[in-house]
Amino acid sequence: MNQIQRLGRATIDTLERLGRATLFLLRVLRATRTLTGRFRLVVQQVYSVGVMTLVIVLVSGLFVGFVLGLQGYNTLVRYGAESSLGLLVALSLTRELGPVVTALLFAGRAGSALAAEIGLMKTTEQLAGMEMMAVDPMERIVAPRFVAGVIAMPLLAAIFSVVGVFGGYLVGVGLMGVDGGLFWSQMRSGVGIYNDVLGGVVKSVVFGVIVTWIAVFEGYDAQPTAEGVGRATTRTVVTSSLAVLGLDFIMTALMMRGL
Amino acid sequence: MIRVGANTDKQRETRSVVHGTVYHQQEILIAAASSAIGVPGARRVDPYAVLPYNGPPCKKYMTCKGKGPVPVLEPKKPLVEIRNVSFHRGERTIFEDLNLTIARGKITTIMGGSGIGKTTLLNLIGGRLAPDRGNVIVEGLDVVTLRRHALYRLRRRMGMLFQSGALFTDLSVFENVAFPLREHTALPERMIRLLVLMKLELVGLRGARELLPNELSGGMARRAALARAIVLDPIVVMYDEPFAGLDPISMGVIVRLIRDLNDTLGMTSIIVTHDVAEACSISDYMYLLGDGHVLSEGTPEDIRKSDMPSVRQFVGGLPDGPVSYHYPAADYFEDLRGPGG
Amino acid sequence: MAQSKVLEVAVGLFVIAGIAALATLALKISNLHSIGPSRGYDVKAYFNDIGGLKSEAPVTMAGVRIGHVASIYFDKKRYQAVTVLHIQAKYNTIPVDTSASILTQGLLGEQYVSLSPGGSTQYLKNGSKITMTQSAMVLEQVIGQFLFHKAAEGEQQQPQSPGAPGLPAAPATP
Repeated sequence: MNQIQRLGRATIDTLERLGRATLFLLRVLRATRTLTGRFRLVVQQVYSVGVMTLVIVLVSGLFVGFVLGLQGYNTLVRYGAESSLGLLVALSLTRELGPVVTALLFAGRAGSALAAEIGLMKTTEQLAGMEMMAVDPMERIVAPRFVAGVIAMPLLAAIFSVVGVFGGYLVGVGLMGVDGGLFWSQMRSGVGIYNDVLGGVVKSVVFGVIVTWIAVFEGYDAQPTAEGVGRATTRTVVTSSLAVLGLDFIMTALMMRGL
Repeated sequence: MIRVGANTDKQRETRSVVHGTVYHQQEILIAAASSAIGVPGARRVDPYAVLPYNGPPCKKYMTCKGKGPVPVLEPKKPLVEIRNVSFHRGERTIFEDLNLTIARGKITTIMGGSGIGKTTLLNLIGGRLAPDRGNVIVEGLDVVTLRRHALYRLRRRMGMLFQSGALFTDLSVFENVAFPLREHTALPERMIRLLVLMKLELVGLRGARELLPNELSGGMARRAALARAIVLDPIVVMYDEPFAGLDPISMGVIVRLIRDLNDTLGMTSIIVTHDVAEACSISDYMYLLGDGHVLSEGTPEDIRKSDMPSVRQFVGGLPDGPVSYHYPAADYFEDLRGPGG
Repeated sequence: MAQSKVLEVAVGLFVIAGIAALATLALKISNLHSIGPSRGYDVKAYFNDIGGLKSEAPVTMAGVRIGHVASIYFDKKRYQAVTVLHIQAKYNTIPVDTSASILTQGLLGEQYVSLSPGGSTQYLKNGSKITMTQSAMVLEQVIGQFLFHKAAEGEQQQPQSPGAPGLPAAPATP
C-alpha cells in the first residue's frame, strides 16, 4: 500500500469515527430524556465524576494561583503596576486557566475513569447482559454519566478559579506585600461579568460536554479486550485534551470578536 | 391477574421435585406476584401477564408508549423458530440458511466447535444482532422486524446466562439479582427482598447475598448470574457455555439447576455448549452445528448413535475427520523446501 | 442505606461549593455590582479625547470611587466623545460646575475619570452635562512633545548638529 492510499484510508477511518461519535452523541442526548424521575442515577455519577475530581482541582487551583501570584508580581513590579496583580490573576483564571486546566484535569481524572469503567463493562459482557435484561445501557449507564459530567465541569471550573484567586491573594498580598485593598478593587473593576466570568462558564460547559462525550464514546466503542480498554482510556485523555485546547482557541477568538 | 399456565400446573403435580423447597417457594412466589398487582403505583397489569407464569407487573409497561403486537400463546407451536437465517461477519460466513426450532418447555442444546457462531445464535434470538437474511421468530414475534419497545418487552421474558456471568462488579449479589426487579417493577422493597431471596435460595447462594462478584468463585458467580436471569421468571433462558471452566462439582450443580429450573418453573432452556457429555446428559433435543448450518439433530440417543462422520468426530472428540486437524495450508514438503527451493 | 446518605450529602456539598464559587466569581471577583439598574444617576461628560478610557472604569472624586463609566460613544455633531458617568445615589451634592478629567493610575495603569468640584450651590442630577473637561493625557503625544522640545533645545545649542539628537531610551526603563 503506498503512502497516498494509506493517507486516504486514515482519513476515511477518522471521518467514520467522527460520524460514529456524532451519532452516538445523538443517541446519548435522546437517552437523557429518560432520566427525568431517575435523578438518583445522575447524583451517583456526579459523586464519582465530580466529588472525586474535587481534591485534585482544589490542590491544582491553589498552586496555579500561587504561581500566577509570583509570576504576575515579578512581571508587574517592573512597570510599577503590581497593584493590578489581582486583576491579572482573576482575569487569567476566569477566562482561561479555570476552564482549560480544569477540563484537562477532568479529562485525566474523570474522563479516563469513565472510559475505563464503560469499556470494562463492555468487556465483561455487563452491557450485553443489561440489554438482555431489557435495560438500555444508553439510558442506564451512559446518559447519567454524560449528564453528570456536564453538570460537574462548570462547578469544578468555578471552584478552581476561586481557589486560584485565593492562592494569588495569599502569595501577592501575604508574601509579596501587595496592598490587599488594591488587589481586590482592581480585580473587581477590571473583571467583567459577561465577557470574563460568563465567558469562562460557557467555556467550561462546552468543555464538560466535549470531555464527557469523548470519554463515554471511547468506553462504549472500545474493543472488548483488556488491551482495547487501555487504548480507549489513553485515547480519551489525548483526544479530549487536544479538543479542549483547540476549542479554547476557537471560542476565545469568537468571544474576542464579540467584544 | 396472573395465573399459571396449564402446562406448568400439570408439571408441578406430576413431577417429583428434587429440591423439596422448590415447590413451596413457587407457591409463595405466585402469591407474592399476585399481590403485587395491588401494589400502589401499579395501575395496569402487563398484557403478557396472563401467559404462563410471568414476573410481577412492570412500571415500564404502564409507561410503555409503543403498542407492539401481543403474542398469542399457542402451546403447540415451538417457542423459537429460526428460518433460513444467514449471517455474515465481514467476509466470513457464520450462518448460511440456518433452520432450527426450539420446542416449548424442553431443554434444547446447540453444539458445535469453537468459533462456529453459537453465541451469535443466542444474540440473534435475543435480537442483539440482526441476520442478513431470514427470520427469527420468538413467541410468534419476528425479532428482526420488531420495534425497539416491543423487542425490549419481549426481552423481559427472556433470561440469558453469559459465560462470564456478566454480574455488575460494583453491586452485591443481592443487588445484582434485584437489578431487573428494580428496573422494571415498582415493587416495594420488602417484596423485592422476598423475590430475590427466593431466587438466591434456588441457586444456593442466599448466604452469599452481601458478597461482591469478585469475592465469588467461578461457579458461584454463574449461579448468581442464573438467579438474576430468572428473577423476572422468563419463559426462556439461554445459557451461553454454562459448563465451561467449572470444576466437576460446580458443573454438577449447574447441570442439576438447569434441569430443575426447566422442569419446576416451566421454562424453556436453550443451551449452547461444546461439552458433549454434559449436553447429552441434560438435553431433550440437540442440534449439532457446523459450516453455518445444522449438521445433525435429534435426541441425545440419536446423536450418539449417528453414523455421520462429522457427528462421530465431534461426539467422539477425534482430532481428525471431516473437520481437518490442519489449518488449510500448502503442501507440507513444498512449504519446507521454501519459496526459493 | 447509610452509605448512600453519605454519597448524597457529599454530592450536595459539592454542588453547593460549586454554586458558591460561581456566586463568588460573579459578586466578589467581577463587577456585577455595577451592572443592572442600580440606584444612582447618570451625567454626561464631553471630552475631546478619551485616550484609552473604557466603560466600567471608575469615576472618582478626591480619589474616592463614587461611580463608574456606564457607556462611551461618539457625538457626531460636536465631534467629541461622550461618556455617561453613573454616580451612586448617595453622592447627590456634586456642584454643576464640576470639572472632569481623565487620569491614569500610575504611568501605565488603567485610566479613570476624576471629578473636581466647583463652587456652585446647584447640584448635578440625572441627565446633567459636564462641559468643563480635561482630555486624557496620551502618552505618545506627551513623549512626542518632550522629544520635540528637547530637539528644539539641542538645535539652539548645536546648530550644526545633523538632525535630531540621539533619542533617549524608553522612559519606562528603570
